[in-house]
Amino acid sequence: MRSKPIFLSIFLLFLFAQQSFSQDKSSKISINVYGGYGFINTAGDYFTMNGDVQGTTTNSQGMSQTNSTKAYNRTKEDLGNGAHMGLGVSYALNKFIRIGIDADYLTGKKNTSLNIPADTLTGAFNSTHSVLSIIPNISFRLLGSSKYHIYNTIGIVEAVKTKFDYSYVASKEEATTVSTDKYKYGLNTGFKDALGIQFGITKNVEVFAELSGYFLSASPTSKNEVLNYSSVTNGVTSNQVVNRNISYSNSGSFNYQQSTTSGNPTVVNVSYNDEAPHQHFYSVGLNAGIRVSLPY
Amino acid sequence: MKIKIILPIILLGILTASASFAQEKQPLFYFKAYAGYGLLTPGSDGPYPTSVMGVENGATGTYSYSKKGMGAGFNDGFGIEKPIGKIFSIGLDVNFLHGKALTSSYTVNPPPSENINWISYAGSTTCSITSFIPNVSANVFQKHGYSVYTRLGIIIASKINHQNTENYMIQSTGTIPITENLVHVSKYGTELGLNIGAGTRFNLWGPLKGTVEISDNLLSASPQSMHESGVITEAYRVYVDNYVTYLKSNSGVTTSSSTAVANDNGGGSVTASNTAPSLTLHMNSIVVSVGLAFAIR
Repeated sequence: MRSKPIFLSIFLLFLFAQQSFSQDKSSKISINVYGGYGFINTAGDYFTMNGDVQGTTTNSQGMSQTNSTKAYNRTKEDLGNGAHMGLGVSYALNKFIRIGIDADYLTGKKNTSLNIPADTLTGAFNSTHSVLSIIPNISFRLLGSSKYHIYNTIGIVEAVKTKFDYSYVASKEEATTVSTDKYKYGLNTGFKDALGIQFGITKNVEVFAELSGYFLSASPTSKNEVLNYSSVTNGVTSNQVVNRNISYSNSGSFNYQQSTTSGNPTVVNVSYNDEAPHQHFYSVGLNAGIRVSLPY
Repeated sequence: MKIKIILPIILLGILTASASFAQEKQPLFYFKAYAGYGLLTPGSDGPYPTSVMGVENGATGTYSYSKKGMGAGFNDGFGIEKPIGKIFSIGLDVNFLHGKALTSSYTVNPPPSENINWISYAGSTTCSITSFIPNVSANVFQKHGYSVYTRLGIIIASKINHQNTENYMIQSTGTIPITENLVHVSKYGTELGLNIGAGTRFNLWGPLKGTVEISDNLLSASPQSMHESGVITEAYRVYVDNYVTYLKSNSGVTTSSSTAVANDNGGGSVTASNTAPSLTLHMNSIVVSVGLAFAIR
């Protein structure tokens, strides 16, 4: 997590707070900054790398018996796990209800070096993801005193910029496959719920800590995949590059298009339409922050 | 969803509720009944074909996949609620989701060189869930005659009936079509999820109250096993009986064992027993419901 922007934001908040110390009237508008970490997997998506099938088949008198095994390895970090930071503004409708809007940035935890054990195929999987979201929200003051209170915040996560890329490298004997995949997204909507406690530090400055759930289901609009195959046969290396562009929609024509340019590498361009996958950026974690009431 | 996540939330709610014990007199209990509909299913899974066949250069075709996922459909249920002071209540609901049948399909016309006229797929998914939902409600706004509340609960899905069908047909030039009709029945253990709601309760008559609520149900479930059965038909019939047990481990080795027995008609049977990495299915829904609550004083 980058510390400079957070320290700067906190400093500016205190400056605002200093200016508002002398106000007597109850302020309705406040701004807040927070940081946190979503560390508990709650059914976010993961990826599985599969090895090759190793098996035997026996035939006798009209009966065929097949036994096989296949190694697999799964990513350890789900989509949605990672650091959150954000800032927001809110307005108190009354003593108990506050409406607000936050800008939240999720820096997803990276997945790296996922190897397949016990297999002739060796490989690695790497992925990165991030989500910038706008979260209109409503907070309810549940219980408390003049110095602290417990609150529940419900928000609609509107993901305005989602990024998810992954790459895959697999080698077996003299053949290597390198795949790079990048998704593109439009707007996607999710849900946030937090239960927290807020303490007053001064008249206009409060700190809060909350248990926060972030549940975003996103469907990409398209994916670009570049596959590089290389293999060595009798000392000669041959290469093939496949550029695959997939547009996602719920229904329509497959509209499969393919063109091939021979050479070394042979270049294959493919495009088609398909059903969008549902990707789940889910996590539960802890956030902490500071809220400063403005003199308005 | 893991119970470790949700229990602290409920525990905190109950602990903080104890502070408000001495508030004004509330009913001893409410008995509730409600009905609603899962209108939206954000991120839920629906019927998808195991394979899309024949999509290649020169092919044409169309597809239409279900816009809604598991979690859509009619909900009803009943429950009991115990007010604890002026703000908080604890309760237990029993909810029945009568899942809507979801359908998807595609048709592909492969290029002429394949000698296949068309390939079609029609699939469906049904999912019904019985769940217990212990919950904590908080009145966030009260006026004479009505109140506004939020609700936080744990979904304990004790019974999930989930079935998929997949029907494929391949019509080649001058031959009898090949059909493949498969039924997948998944078995689940008890699964946990999160229920978050907001609503209003208003006076109707004497001890009878009305409620209108919108709730978000987040339920992700991993089947323990799946049984695939069906038949592949051409001029012969091949019966399929396939058991899959899902492995919870993040890494490992899956096994597959199958026996194919031929009969005199060119058909026969395939019996298989497999293990596979576990998968997670999402059964989310946003439900709008109306109900009645009867106050016992």
